Amino acid sequence: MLAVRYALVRLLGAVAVIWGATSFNFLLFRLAPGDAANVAIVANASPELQRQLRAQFGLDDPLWLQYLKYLGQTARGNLGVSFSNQEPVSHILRAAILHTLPLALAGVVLALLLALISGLVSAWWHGRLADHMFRGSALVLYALPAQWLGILMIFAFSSWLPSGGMSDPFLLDTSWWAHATDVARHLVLPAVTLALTTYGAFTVVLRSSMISALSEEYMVTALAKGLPTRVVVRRHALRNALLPTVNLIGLTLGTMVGGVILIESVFSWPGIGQAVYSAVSRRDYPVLQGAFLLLTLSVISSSLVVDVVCRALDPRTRRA
Amino acid sequence: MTGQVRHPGARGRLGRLVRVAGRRPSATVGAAVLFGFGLLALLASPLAGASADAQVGPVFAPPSGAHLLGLDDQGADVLKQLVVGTRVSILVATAATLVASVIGGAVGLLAGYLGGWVERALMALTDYFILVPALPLMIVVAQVWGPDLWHSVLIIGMLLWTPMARVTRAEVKVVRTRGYVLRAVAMGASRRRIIWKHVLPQVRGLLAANAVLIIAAAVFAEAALAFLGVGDPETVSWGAMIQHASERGAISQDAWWAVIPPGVCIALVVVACNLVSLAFDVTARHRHGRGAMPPGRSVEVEYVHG
Amino acid sequence: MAEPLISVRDVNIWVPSIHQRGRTLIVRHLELDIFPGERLGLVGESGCGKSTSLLGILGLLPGGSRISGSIRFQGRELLTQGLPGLASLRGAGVALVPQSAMSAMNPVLTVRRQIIEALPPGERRDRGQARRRCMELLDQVALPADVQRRYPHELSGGMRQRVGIAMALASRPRLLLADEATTALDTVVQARVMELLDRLCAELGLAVIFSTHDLALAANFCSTIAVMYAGSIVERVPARRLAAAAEHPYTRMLIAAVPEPGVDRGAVVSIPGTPPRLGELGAGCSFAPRCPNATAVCQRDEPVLQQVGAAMAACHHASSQEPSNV
Repeated sequence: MLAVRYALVRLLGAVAVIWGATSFNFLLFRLAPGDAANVAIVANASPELQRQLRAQFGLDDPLWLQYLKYLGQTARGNLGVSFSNQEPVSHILRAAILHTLPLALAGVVLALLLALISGLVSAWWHGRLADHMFRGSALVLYALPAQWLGILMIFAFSSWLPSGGMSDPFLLDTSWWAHATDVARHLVLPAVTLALTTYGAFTVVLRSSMISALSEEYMVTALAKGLPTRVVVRRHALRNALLPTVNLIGLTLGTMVGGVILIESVFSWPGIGQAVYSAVSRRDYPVLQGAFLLLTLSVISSSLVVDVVCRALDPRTRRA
Repeated sequence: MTGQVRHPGARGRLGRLVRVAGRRPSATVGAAVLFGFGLLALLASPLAGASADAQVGPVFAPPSGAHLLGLDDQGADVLKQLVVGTRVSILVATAATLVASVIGGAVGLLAGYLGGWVERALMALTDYFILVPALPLMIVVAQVWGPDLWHSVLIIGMLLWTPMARVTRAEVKVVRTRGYVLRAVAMGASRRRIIWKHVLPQVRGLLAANAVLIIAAAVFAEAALAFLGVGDPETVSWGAMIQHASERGAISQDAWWAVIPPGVCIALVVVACNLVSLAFDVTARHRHGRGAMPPGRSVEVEYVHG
Repeated sequence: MAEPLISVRDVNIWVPSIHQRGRTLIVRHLELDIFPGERLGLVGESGCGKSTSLLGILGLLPGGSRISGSIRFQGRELLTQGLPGLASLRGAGVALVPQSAMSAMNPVLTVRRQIIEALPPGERRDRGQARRRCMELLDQVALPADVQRRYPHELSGGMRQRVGIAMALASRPRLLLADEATTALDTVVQARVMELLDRLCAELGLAVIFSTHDLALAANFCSTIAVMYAGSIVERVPARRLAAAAEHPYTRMLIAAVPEPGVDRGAVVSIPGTPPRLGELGAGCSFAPRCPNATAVCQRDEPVLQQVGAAMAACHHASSQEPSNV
């Protein structure tokens, strides 16, 4: 019962944040210097588009009516129409976010693996050279700007791995397998860049919680049963130490979004980050605002899921 | 109010600083690096200033004796651009940090001291800004508002204050129950006076420690905004240098010297900030548990015939 | 006479210092003989080295520690094989009875899992068999079967202690090491658990080393009392002769400090002074600073255990003690 109530409270909070973000979008557009329609008028916008925009944004209605209409539209999934190609923003972004997902997932999984290795080593030999080396390199990598590291990766590996786009447009073999491997090859550099620039935070938390777990009394009790050290560390220390680390994922999703945007821009990966990048250069406000809303929604729902999962996994919070 | 209220730490701050420096040499290194960059930022104009943008050779010429870091996408000396860029990047980061510190500190102080609905409202606001992904928000605002240096400063500052607010609030809640505060309240001092004279000096150190971390985040943010094209197009910053280079073909022309130096500077500043902030970190030493862990070091066993 | 189950000779244990580099000598020339079924009470104040002694037998010392001397279990010398030698005892002849404190059990694993992992590898393989054995053990410690599905934080202190005993019995040991086993329990619960322990140890013929700061508790449960002070044993005396035969001043003070129900002494009797910090021990008897009978020889030479009547005491003045009227 307690868990359900907690989930509901968090859900309510999430809805409030989405509402806040939507309202913010609305205000921003209205508060932009110049009439909203003028801002919307791109040099080569057809009268057709202008009329559509005026109708869509109801620029002749009183402000409160505009607001309610805007909220209604957004709730129904209508995020407007792109300035550059007149396509519905929601279509553009849906395709984009589907492309971002494999990159983000690969990056997070890789980051967790790296953090596991460096966190465990640092915790086991804490205070010694291995600790300083692993933790130090994790923090240095964390300090590198993602876009810069991406460019460096291209410099270093461009002769072995593709450095742009998601697939090779000139690929002759059209079988599913060839396509999948092609995408995978394109995925390597951006995913590795994402992993390298994010795993530092996980390492620090994992190391810290591992050191705590390793010095707990129940470790002694477990070892006294005669179990091999490896098993004890894995089953008792690591399991307890992973919880705060997984929790951290939920909290750092917002930062990871920033990394994804920069990396997709560098590697021309056709995801939502790239959509933001091109929207900026083409002054495509609807796409930009739609992307912001969508990203906010993704981050909030993901962190909500992570939070609920963490609470479910920890038996201490299950019952009163 | 008779007598002086001796705030702990009001005296001997310099002595304490020296002791901290000795205990953690890494922090001193970090501080030295930051100091060096700050100095460079101040002296940028006389050092490189006017001629920094001038074309002095072919585009993307490699490093040579005359130009240690080669030439960039406009044929200008990369080293000179770097020095000028230092000024802009440091300026933007420091200014944004100031803005963030003021906002975060104020929110934390008020929420922590006043409590009640004020605290709840302010914390809801803080949570909102924590949840919303920062970079997309910055991009949207910057795009609508227009690319300008001071716009960047304000935008970055207005989105990086959240950790400061949380930490300050926690500390203020503790300080609020301290003796000298309660005495001041009992004597009828106004809330504004109490906050200003008694609470603020106590959390100053914490604010400073957090501010250092915000500087790092601000440098990152400035570079990101510049790269995505919403920074000030007129000024040269580290982020802008990376953007120019990548935009204008440094990658295809293998001109690594136009890209690497600004990134190295950013990384140095961020690492330095982290090192310095670790010095403020008063984490308890992990207490030795009752036996056994970690066996990273082994246990020596010696048989002695008894 | 049968051979001792475990024989400890001249064992010294160094543990890494907390606040500085290097090691501190925590346990000094420890000497014990435990026979099958015998119960030894290891009594002393906190920090005197009782825990370290027990954990040292199983090799459960912090990294960087050092142990020297001789430990023989069932005739086999262990210290010649390094740490694996001591580790071979874990769950194979010797078992640790953990404290009832919540920190002694893993909070995210069920009771069943934690009992099953204490079973010998052979009994763990078949899940059905393992579960049956788990229920058997819970029954032995008088706990209902549904406890196995619970988590440690859902149990009371007494229940946790019983689970701890069940975990120890799982590997069918010959020797139990009970480190402050019932210390965190309140008196009534403690009495019940001690009853259980007493019955089980008698039924199963288990030897026990029972470490505690509660002299009366140890005297009730154990056959021999070994008093530990500043890392070494200063007195060894049969439990039933404790009051009459104890010779060491420290032991006498401990006895005097035990409250007697119905007797009003007028004031709380305590031992003046504080225990010395290990690593700061000077020459001579470690108890000298607090001892009312200390003389020059006490400051100079450290006394060794010598037979005085029914007890073995490490005191220069033991044989010349007047009958105690403390």
